[in-house]
Amino acid sequence: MSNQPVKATLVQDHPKDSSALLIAVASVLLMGLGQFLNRQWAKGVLFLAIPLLFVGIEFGTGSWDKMDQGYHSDYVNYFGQLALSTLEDQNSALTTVVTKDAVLSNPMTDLVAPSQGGKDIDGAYVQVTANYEGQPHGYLIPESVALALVSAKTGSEVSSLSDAELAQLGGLIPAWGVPFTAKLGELEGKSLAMTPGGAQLRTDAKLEGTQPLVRVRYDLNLDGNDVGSYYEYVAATLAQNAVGPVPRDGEVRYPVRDYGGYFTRGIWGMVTLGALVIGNDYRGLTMEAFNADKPWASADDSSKLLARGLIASVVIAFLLFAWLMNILDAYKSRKQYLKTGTVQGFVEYVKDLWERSYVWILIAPSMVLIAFFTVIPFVYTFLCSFTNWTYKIYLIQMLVSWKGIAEYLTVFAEPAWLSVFFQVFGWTIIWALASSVTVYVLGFAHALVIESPLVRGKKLWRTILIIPWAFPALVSLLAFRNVFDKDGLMNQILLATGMMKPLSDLLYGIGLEGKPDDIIFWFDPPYNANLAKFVAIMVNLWVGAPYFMMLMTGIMSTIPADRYEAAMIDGASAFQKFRYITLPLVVTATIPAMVMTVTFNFNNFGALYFLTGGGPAWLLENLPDALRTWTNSMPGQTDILMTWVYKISFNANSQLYNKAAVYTVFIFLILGIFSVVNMRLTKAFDEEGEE
Amino acid sequence: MTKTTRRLMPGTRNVLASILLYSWLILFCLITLIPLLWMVWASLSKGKLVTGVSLIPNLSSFSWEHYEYLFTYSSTQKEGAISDFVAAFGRTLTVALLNTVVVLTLSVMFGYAVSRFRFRGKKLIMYTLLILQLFPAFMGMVAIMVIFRDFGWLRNANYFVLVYAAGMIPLNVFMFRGFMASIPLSLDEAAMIDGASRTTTFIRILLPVTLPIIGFMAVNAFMAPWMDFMLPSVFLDKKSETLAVLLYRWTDKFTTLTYSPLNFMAGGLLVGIPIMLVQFYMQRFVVYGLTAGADKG
Repeated sequence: MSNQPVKATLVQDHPKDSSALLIAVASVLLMGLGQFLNRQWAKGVLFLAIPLLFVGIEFGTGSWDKMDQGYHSDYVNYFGQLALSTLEDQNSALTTVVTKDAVLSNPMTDLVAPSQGGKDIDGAYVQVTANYEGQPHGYLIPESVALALVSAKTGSEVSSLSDAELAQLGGLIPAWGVPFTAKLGELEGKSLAMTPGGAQLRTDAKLEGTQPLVRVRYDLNLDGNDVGSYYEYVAATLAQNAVGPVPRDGEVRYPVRDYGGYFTRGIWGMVTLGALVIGNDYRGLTMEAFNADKPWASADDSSKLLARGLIASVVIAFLLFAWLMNILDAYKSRKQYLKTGTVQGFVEYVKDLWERSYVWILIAPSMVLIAFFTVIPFVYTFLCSFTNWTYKIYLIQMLVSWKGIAEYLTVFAEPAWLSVFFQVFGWTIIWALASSVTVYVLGFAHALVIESPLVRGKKLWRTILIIPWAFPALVSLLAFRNVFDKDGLMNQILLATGMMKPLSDLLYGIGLEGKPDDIIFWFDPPYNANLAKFVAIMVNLWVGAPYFMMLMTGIMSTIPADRYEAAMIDGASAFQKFRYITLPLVVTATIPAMVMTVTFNFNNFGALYFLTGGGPAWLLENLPDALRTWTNSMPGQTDILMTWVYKISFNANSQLYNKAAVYTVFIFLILGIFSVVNMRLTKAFDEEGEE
Repeated sequence: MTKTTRRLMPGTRNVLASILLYSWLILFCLITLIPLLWMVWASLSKGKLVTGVSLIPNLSSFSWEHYEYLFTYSSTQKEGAISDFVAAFGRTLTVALLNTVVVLTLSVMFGYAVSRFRFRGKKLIMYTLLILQLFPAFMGMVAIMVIFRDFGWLRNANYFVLVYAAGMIPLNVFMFRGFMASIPLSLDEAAMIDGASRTTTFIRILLPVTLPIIGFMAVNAFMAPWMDFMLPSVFLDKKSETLAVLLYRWTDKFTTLTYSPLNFMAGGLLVGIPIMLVQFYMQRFVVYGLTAGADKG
């Protein structure tokens, strides 16, 4: 808000003092209304545009306008003709297949003829009647009756044709996994009544140029023997725009789901996690994986609904923010007017807006990226931890549902899961600390050695020692995986120098190796877990020490030489100089870097996944009985939380997304502690305090 | 801990210290170099497995076959098809370049805003960034997967840039801000008095001065896609994978069909050495960034 109000619109009558509040209320009711009342027309339009845009998106992405049309069909339908003459089968005497126009003949709904103003309906009504007269021991096997749309040219079922074959026949328009065959279920007396859900032959497929056939297939039983399958064909006719009332199953049970736009549907989806899954009947149609023409006939995918709901929530939050700003602005403008008799003019407003939004324009793209790809995913994960989403929930075929803190209870209250968690978490802590401290100490030692005045050729030594930093860690870690292979470099060196046996005995003696093997298996057998852990820390040392060496030589080179000179004059020993000058300076300067390194190592996926792959596996006796069935989700002995979460989430037959989410939330909390520590240590906010 | 001394007087103490220092250096240089040399030698050996690749080069098993494999083998089996390795290299390079451009542009814009302007909500934003920089983007990987699937972005590594950028911007902003704090305000003010707009001032005056920190951010942004395994391993298939996944598969014993450690050695060197040279070249920036980062957290 500019502090320099300018004369703008002429205001005629001076309103009373309470008007500011009233105008704020006006803005509460409709964004921009308060500004209009303040006679800030342009600003009002700007504010009004925001909810209009919002409503526009809602209606543009939804189909609220179609709601009153009920069960509307744009389908092209085939109806079987009353054409018994085309029956090719010898058993025609036994059965009568009657296919009728659904509009005129469907007994299930009270249809109104098109001429009488009925509404659209699609589907064919087909009736198969078995004529048992004169065939005492024969009957039709009811479960076997099936209908299919068949190409008259080739005789093949439309649903079995490939795209190329369909194209030859003239193309199929449009077919989104529509079921072409329907099975009959019931035998009522001597005739098969086909319920609208079961036996209607309904399709949005159209074979251009040829008249297709409806094929009725059924199995017969004569004299107690199944005599096989029979087919009867009737010519299908195209019946467009058949009209009927809204059938009973056309009821709209989920209006928001069926017609909602991005926001309403998003919120609906987030709250309910979906309603209908593939194969279910809804409003006379079978749910499909995806139906472009009738979006509501597409099955719900809980995971997508949750994501879209979150995105919608973020946009709604923005709207709310703008709404608050609008109320505040209307109120303040009025107050200002009451005080000075003027309101801010539009040109000034735009100038002011540009001034203020310059930084926001700079920041906005990054903020959007961070919101979408860091914040929303994390909130999503957080929400996931309250669901039952695992690999057992086949999305689209099943729905995910909210389960409260059930998963937290499983993970942290069931002794079996808790014991595995403790083993992994314990190692994660040890790993994070040990790998960071070793790297720090060795890096410091390297730096001290290189910076020593006794050493010549500093540049050369330095260049060699930072190779592991410059070389991509992914490649070096994978290479180390081979170095510590059974036939790898390490064992070859040991064998060649005759050190294998003594070293193996030594490792066994100090408890790193579980058995004194003749060849050391570094990462494989369960009893060598300690060895694998030790090697992982050592390899991380190889990879990570140069970073600290670089950092510390950088810092040490900034220590003014006169400090050392002064110390020398005072007769300080080399150790004293190190103890009282180098050490404190380097340590204080590297504390933030150290916190970052511990944090990084806490989540250092690569160092373990690439090197050991999390192995060796658990000894079976260490694995709680209750978890034997979850072997694909179980961590290896060198798995840290992060690699375990990765395995739980993405290993085949593991995908326990909810459990992974619970552990991720846990990691989040731990990292939160780190970040508090980091915030305390960092000086970044000192200058912020003044503002 | 080795003690150092500045007293350059001749004496046994210095000689002893020198011996200690040099043996330390030689020992660690050997430890550094031997695995890499072994890699080089393994990549030039015949056969499929590391068995028999000894430390001392055995000339009778010398062969270029693994390098040939890298440039000729294509799983599509088509005539004239680009080899898997080269294709993956190209894809990774594309992502790396894209990532560098996106991350630099956005970080620098953001960094400029928070280092030179005062505005409401700045403190909140900085605290949010400080928290966010600790959380790796893949903590929400399942969600990213769902969003990518919804947008039809799976099987294309280029979209990873969005995730990488979101993850890298917070730390970059802090480093950039720390760097800008060392540039006197009078520099911008002089330009502004001359009538330059904020954008011009930034591009003409400030950007050239901040090159060291931008260089550091560029190195990090360029490296991320080569190192990232998690996103590509879940989101990509064999036709769209990046080098990290390809290399991993060659060293993974459980995928017996593709397990070929010696091909990995060759491929790893071909990836690693150029990257290493880039890193060496950019090293002065990196040292700068590290110490700046140490100052500012």
